[in-house]
Amino acid sequence: MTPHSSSLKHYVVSWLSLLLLTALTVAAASLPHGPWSIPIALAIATAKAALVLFVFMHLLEHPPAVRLVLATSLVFVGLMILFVQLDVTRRFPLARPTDPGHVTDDSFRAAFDD
Amino acid sequence: MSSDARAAHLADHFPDAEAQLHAARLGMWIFLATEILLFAGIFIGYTFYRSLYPLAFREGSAHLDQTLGTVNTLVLITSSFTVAIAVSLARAERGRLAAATLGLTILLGAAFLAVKAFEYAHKLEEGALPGRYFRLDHAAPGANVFFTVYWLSTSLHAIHVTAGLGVLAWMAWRCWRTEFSSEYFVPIENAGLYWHLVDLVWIFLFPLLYLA
Repeated sequence: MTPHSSSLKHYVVSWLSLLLLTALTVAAASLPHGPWSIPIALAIATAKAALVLFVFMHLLEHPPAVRLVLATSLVFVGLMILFVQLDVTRRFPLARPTDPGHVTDDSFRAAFDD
Repeated sequence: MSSDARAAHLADHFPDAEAQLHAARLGMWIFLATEILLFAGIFIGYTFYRSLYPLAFREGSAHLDQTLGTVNTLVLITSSFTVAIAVSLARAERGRLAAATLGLTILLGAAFLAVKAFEYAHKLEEGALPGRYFRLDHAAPGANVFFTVYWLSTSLHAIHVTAGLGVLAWMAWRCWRTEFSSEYFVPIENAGLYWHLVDLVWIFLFPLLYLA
């Protein structure tokens, strides 16, 4: 098959980039923790995921319906995480179990029962 | 020979091989979408509990062995790379070489599970366990919840790795028998896609559990 040698080059470049991005995210984690720590870690993870999806999984060479399926699932994952985040950060403070100690089944139930 | 193989693999209800390939790929991606949604449940749990117990999650993260996590990330990424090469080789009708590359992928996957098992054994011993089985001293409130998320997510992922190893072994055998060609490669391609998905999940689990 003809595409083999050119795709091999793409695979090698992507693999090296993935190793590099892993080193980058580990290095970023050694910086002092701040409000940007998680967004940076997630941005690097997303870049790595894009390399896997577009190069290793050949997303663009597959039928367009495949992209629709993937986009739909990602949109719903995003919506679920967004609304959970909105709920939990804006919740009435008394509804939060602030100090569960070592949460046991009983104490957890008690925190939510009333 | 080649047209015989193609005729043998073309199901009656498809007009031609291209329609069959499209249907197979779409079906596989719909399955992958359900897998994404399955793991999304765990990521949502993570979001929820991290907001409730930010300190416990950071302490829990610091408690995990970052070196082992990083090594496993590199191992799994490399296995994704080798499986992509194996699919190319199978399509190029280099069955024996494809089987050998899949063998290397299986070794990497097994190495990932071995490191994971070593990590689990250590966690078991020190009592960094989920929910009510948690017995680490001096832990922040909610630390047991972090370890619940850790055990649930990594064990669900490890189950997927194990299943993937079985599928890859089966595909290595079929590659060895040169069953695949430039015209017929759906099983090996789909096996590769599944393995890449397992890698994708880990790409997000690793920073959230070990680094954040």
